[in-house]
Amino acid sequence: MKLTKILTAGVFAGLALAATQASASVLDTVKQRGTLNCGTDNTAPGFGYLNTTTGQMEGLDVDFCKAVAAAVLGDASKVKFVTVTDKSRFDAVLTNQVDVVFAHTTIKPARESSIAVDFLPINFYDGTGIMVKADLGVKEFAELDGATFCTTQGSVTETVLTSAFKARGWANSKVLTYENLEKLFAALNSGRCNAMSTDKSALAAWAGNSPNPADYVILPDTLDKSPFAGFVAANDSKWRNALRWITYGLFQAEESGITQANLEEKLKSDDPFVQKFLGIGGGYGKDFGLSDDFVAQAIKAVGNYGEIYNRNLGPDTKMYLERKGTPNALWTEGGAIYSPLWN
Amino acid sequence: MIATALKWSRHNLFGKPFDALLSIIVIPGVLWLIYQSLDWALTKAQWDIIPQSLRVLMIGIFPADQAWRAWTAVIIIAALLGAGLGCVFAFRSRHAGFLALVWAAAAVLTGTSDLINLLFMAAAVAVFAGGWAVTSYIPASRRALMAASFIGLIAIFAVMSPPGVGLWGGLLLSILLTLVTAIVSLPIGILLAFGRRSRFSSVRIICTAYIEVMRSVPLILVVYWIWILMPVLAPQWNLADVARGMIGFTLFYSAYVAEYVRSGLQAVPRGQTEAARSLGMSEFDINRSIVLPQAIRVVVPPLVGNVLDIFNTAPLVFIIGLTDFLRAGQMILANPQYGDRTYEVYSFLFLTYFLVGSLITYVARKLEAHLARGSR
Repeated sequence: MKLTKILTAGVFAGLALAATQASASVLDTVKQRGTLNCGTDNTAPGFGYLNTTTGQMEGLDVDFCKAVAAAVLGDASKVKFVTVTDKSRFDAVLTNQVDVVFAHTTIKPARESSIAVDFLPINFYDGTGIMVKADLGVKEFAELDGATFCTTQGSVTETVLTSAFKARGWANSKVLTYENLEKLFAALNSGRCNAMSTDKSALAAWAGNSPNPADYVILPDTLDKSPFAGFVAANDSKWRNALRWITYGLFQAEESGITQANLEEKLKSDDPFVQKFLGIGGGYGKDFGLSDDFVAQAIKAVGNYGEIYNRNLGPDTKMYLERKGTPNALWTEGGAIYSPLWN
Repeated sequence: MIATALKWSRHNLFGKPFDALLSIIVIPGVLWLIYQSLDWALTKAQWDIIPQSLRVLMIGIFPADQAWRAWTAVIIIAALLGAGLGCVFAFRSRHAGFLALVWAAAAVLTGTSDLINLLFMAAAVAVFAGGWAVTSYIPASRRALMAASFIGLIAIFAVMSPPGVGLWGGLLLSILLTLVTAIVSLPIGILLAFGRRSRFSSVRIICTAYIEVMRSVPLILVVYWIWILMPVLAPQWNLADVARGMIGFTLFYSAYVAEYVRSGLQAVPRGQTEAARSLGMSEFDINRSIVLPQAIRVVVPPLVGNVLDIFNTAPLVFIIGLTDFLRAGQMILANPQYGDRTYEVYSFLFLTYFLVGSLITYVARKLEAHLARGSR
């Protein structure tokens, strides 16, 4: 499978490359078509899933799709969600079947070099996390000297943990491995492990789905890096740059305190930066091939980054993942969510 | 009664020392498993998720206010299946009672209380009985079945397409995929089978190569290649994922159908063709009127088994982003609200697959017995 994957990716990267170079930017195609084909997963809790009660797609990735549709087309409902899987997501964008993919995808060098996609700014920092039972009373990783950690067999996490032990000189800490996450979670509950370790988003899903989520604490520490970002087919700067700055716009809106609720009020602001940022009397959009109020449209549809985060991964959701003290916090609060300067 | 049961078990379960040993080991295990499953299913499981998410399981994200379109498709499918059944089993009035029972069971199992859904369900069952009756009482109508199937498929596409082909999903998608593949691959398979026996070596080589290539690669590869190749080779067609999935399945299973049909062609005694030839019939007439009918008769049971095969491999279309029955179940579980209902949802999926699968194998077995009667 791996070889066929590489072969197909190679062949079609070449073909798609020729196709994109010959034709206009995807941005023009999207505007002409009037709908955005956005690739998302539909089985990823917190990121892309179906709310069976309302029949609507929900999740962090889904909200980014809506933000792009609102910014480019002025209407968040003009988005068509196309389901992509871990296997098909790159080929889907390379063969122009979707315009952009937001599907909890980790940035890796080979994906930009040999598969030939361009990643957008990181919109979620995942990574190996640690979950303990709340009654253990542990607040951070440093307190776990001598504890037994559990993780899945053959995962990178095992190496990450053992090197973390070495770096801290923890001689008595052990790693036990289990076949799958289900057994791992059972081992944590039965007390065979003091701590369970895997991707943070997965930890949040397991805790959230348990009968009593308050029994578990996901520590703020992140042991290695797995940054998620949306991506587009390579070599279409016009489209990629528009999407990059839509994403940055959502970050900047949070930093500038512009929310879905106070947007109307902020549109009347006399702060020259806020005026230009929201496109009052000329803005940043025109040169990207977007309307000047593109950021305002995106905020109107889904809110700023903080609002998107809280809606999908915030304290009121079952997928609660603490934001404070992690890279997912705004840079002004010590995190890594950072927009370049706008003016 | 008890005496008979004891006699039966002594004879079948404890007849020989080895049988007895096996029974002593296996029976308590099976009983324990049944007890555990029932205990869970009746006391611990929270089945409310099934009626709540039934629509997603059945039709995926197809819009609720367009459900009549899905029901129309179900009714057409019911008519076709009924008509197919009527070709081999005669409809009797006692079957009507049985079908009413099926309807009641479906209503209870799915927990539907919506009047419109119950009416549509009743309509589907009635149409099934109607199709069954037509082909069993009017033998001439059987000739039109293949044409009717194609018209039915086109009608389904016409009625289901307006809200968007990308919205098809759930059990209905699995069944549609199975039906389209089974129906379209039959004529292609028959042509390929004849092509493989053709006097023209070019035709023979092409057909043989096609069959052998398709039979030597995995289905998932064919589906995936068709999915990425079509937009590159024919971007102007803009074929939907569903259509490309169906094309992949049809191309793949045509090769298998061809091999089944070829085995049937070989089973027709040489004397038959020789006799026809001596009567001065043309090759085309010989094949169409003498060889093919006898060949098909032989291969109907394996072809029905092939349909089961298609249905069971349908979940592979998840790879191209389609939401079939299995994926619809996983999609429901991805909702954090329902994440702890894994066992309930998978049990429902298992039971449905099991029911459909056993129904098809039952029909295949009956068919085999029925057709064997003629050649005794």
